[in-house]
Amino acid sequence: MQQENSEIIIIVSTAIIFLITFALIILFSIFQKRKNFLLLEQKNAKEDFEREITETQIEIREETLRNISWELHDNIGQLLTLAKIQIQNTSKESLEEVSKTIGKSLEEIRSLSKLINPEAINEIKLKNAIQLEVDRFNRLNFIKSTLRTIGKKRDLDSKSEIIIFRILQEFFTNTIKHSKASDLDVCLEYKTNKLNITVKDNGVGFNKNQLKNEKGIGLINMENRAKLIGAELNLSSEINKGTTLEISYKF
Amino acid sequence: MDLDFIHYFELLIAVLAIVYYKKYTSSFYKYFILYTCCAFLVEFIAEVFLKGTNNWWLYNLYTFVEFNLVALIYYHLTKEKKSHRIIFYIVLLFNITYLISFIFIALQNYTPILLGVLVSVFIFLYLKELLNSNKIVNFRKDISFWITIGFLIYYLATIPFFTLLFVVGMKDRILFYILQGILVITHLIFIVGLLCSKKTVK
Repeated sequence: MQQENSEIIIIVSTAIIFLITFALIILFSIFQKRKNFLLLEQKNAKEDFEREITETQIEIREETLRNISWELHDNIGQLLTLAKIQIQNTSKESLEEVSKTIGKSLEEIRSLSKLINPEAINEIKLKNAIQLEVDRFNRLNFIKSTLRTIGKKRDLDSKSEIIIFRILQEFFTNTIKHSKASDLDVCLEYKTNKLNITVKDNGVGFNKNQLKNEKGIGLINMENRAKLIGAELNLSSEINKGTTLEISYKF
Repeated sequence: MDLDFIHYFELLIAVLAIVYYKKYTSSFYKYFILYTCCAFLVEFIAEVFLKGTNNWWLYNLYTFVEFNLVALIYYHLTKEKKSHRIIFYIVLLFNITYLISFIFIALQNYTPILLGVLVSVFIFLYLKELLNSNKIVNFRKDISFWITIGFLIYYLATIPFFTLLFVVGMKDRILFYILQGILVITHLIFIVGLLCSKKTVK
């Protein structure tokens, strides 16, 4: 009788342990599958991010090339043409004028060569890059621009710097092309745990709700890119008063 | 000759394990080959040479070899330092208990049960690492996963049976059908694993 009892106990307990083991294995499989799925998603998101960074870099490069071509044609080209005309009507007095014009062309070429330096394009240091842009606007008399820094400068993650610079570059281009503004103010405020960037122009502004397609896409693009690096982006504009862009990036 | 067909299973696994020596080149795999060969040889010697005699000493010796081979397998399968340290202490604990069991013979009845429990700990360490790792593992094509499942089912499910066999005592061999059933399932899992898993790529 006792033997029979112990037999039943053994059979039942073996069956229970077997079932528990089986359930454990199934649970493990489900968890592992889920984990693999999440990891794959993470990997894809990372790839998307890298692609976006590359795209942004290409855009920055294109913009820089456009600026250079413009500068060569409209600025240095004009200066050299002027020098040529001056030489054609040369006299002893005007020789000094010619020398001045050529000297100015050389200066422009030098500052331009700074912009084309591949290191400047590939390893963007946010503050320096903005400074170069601001200097360029002032030099070419596009717009009166200033760059202010508050707090101690800190380096950002290089990928974030690329994204932020591209957003600002897009904003600058729009300001120069469409806003008819006379002043542009850029302010970098470094705080202990975040960086606040404020860019303000005093142009014609626009109504956010009535944006034409192209501009609207530009704005959506800016917002998406900011989201990509976890930054907050706020663009506000008032008609005839100007446009303000605020970016808040957490370190 | 009750367990006869199980021997064929064991032989098949040992042969398959050796045949796939080149397919699975992970460091743990050679210990698995040794494990399967030992399992078959012990059963074979017990059945052919020691039939009718007292073969407990052989199984007692086998318990020692079996445990240390499984420990080596999981020492190579786990990567974390913490797991290695736990495995080291468990091996120490078991081997000391094993040595003491030569002085206190009664302890020899408990070593196979202790073995089952401790091997389950190794397996949980390995599964925990696998789940925590940030590697995407196609575990259904992973030989170590199948071997682990086989071990887990075998060592956990046989604990009640061995408890009855060694501690309480068994009068007839009817309950050996349970062991047979568990062994068949374990071996089928090994066979599926060996046949279906992906080649190890270094």
